[in-house]
Amino acid sequence: MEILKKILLLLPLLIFSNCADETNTVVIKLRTDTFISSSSNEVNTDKDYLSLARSNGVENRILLKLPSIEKDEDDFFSDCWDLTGACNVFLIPANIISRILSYCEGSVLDSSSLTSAVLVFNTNDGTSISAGELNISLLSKPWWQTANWEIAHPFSSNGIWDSPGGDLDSSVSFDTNCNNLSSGSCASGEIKFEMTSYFRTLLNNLGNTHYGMMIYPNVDLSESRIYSVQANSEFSPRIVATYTGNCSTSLVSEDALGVSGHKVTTKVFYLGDEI
Amino acid sequence: MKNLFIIFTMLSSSLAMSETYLGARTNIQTSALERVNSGFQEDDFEPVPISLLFGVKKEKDSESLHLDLSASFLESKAQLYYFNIGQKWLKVLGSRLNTLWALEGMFSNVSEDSIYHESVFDNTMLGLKIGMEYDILNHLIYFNYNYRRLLTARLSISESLTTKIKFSHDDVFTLGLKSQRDGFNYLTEIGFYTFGERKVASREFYLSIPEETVQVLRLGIGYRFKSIESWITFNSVGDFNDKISLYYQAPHFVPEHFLSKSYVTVDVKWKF
Repeated sequence: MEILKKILLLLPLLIFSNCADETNTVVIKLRTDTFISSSSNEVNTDKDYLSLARSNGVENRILLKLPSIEKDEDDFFSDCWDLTGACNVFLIPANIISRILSYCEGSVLDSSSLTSAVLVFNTNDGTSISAGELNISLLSKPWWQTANWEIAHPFSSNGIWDSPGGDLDSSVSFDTNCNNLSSGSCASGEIKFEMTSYFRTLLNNLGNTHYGMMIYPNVDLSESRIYSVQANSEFSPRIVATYTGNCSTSLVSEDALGVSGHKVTTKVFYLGDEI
Repeated sequence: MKNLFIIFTMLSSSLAMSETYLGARTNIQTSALERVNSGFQEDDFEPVPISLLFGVKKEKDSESLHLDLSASFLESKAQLYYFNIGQKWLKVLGSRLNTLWALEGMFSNVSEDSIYHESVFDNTMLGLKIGMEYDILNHLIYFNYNYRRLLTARLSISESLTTKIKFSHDDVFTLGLKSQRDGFNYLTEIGFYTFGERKVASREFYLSIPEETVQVLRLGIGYRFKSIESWITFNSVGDFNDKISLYYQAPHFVPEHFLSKSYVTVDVKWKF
């Protein structure tokens, strides 16, 4: 009888705990980045580091793009060639955020459910960059992997930067590095940018395009090297986003998590494929 | 080369061809495009310096069949092969009107260490041609339409991302006049080349290059001395809207060349 009483007391607690909102943190690894230098038109895409610097008239800046297509390449090209639009490669929320949270209830995709989104980098040479020394801005035109100080892409005259070093979109502004973070703080060697407001805007405007972002020093800065996508490291550029919502066991699909039936609240994704 | 000649001779003999030729073509750029900072590793796109030509023609009653082949040597590490095979009906309905059709194609063979490897120039083109000619005295007025399609090509693999270019088809209309006088042959031709939309895409990049029409003017003079026929043709290519996009709109070295403002083609053929 005593055991039965305990079970009856615990039962409501078990039921309510399964229905309650939970915090889900996802880590999205970036897929494309490079750095450009005012001293050279060398293509740096395949290097395992990114570089930031501003000294003696030489400046190094980082170009990156938030990932947008989770399909495999064959499916992507098949669909892309049939589309009249831009193949959706510049639409982030529809293709990434939705996909990543596909195992949660639809309400999680509401921008109000996004509690935090932070873009994170780590230096790989032991250097640290002080808070406030870096700006991040949106780019106003698409760039390809051969981008350099003069050219965004080689396919048309529009691929030449109007302003050498990158054309910026000033319609959205961001805090400098490690300032006003919605989650956590910057440890030594970490570079973080607050993205929550921008991500909420994207969630609310699914048609918004995203050509990429540029990170650049706003003060004189000795060179710092940073893990790039090609470093293929846990420290490679990534977005850490936290959502509040119901992602209970019953909604977890094998497709989304790779393991069916296990309730997990923190996952690392590479465009929808769990790492 | 000697063996190739023997094969061609045996082929033409065995098929009882009316006419066979062997020849060579060279292209000389007379006016280059304005050099632009395009991001290309290689900025020189002069027309193919040398091509070897072979062709056979068989005429029977009111029909003629032809096969033209060429091998073009862009550099030691890149060859372009072209074929054109077709049929012509002569003097349709007893009038002076000829009609024709042909299939054409261009294939590339590019070494991995060539600058053209896995570029927009390392590609295959397939096409269909239909046309008509009106024969009056020593003049031949002709009108041709070519439907051409370049196959989708891979431009690069970087960061595990493949970038490809897809070509919509091209439409080519040519109107020309061939004349004979005092042993010389003359050619005047205007061509309207409409290059379809090009799409460049990877999973993180997309660009559309819109359709564009360009005019090409050709003026040629030829002379035949016994079995040797020679032609000199001046080619003038109209302006593209975008001096960088044109490399992707018209990445042709063969059969025509659009990456020079003007160039001269010299053909020498031995007909037998």
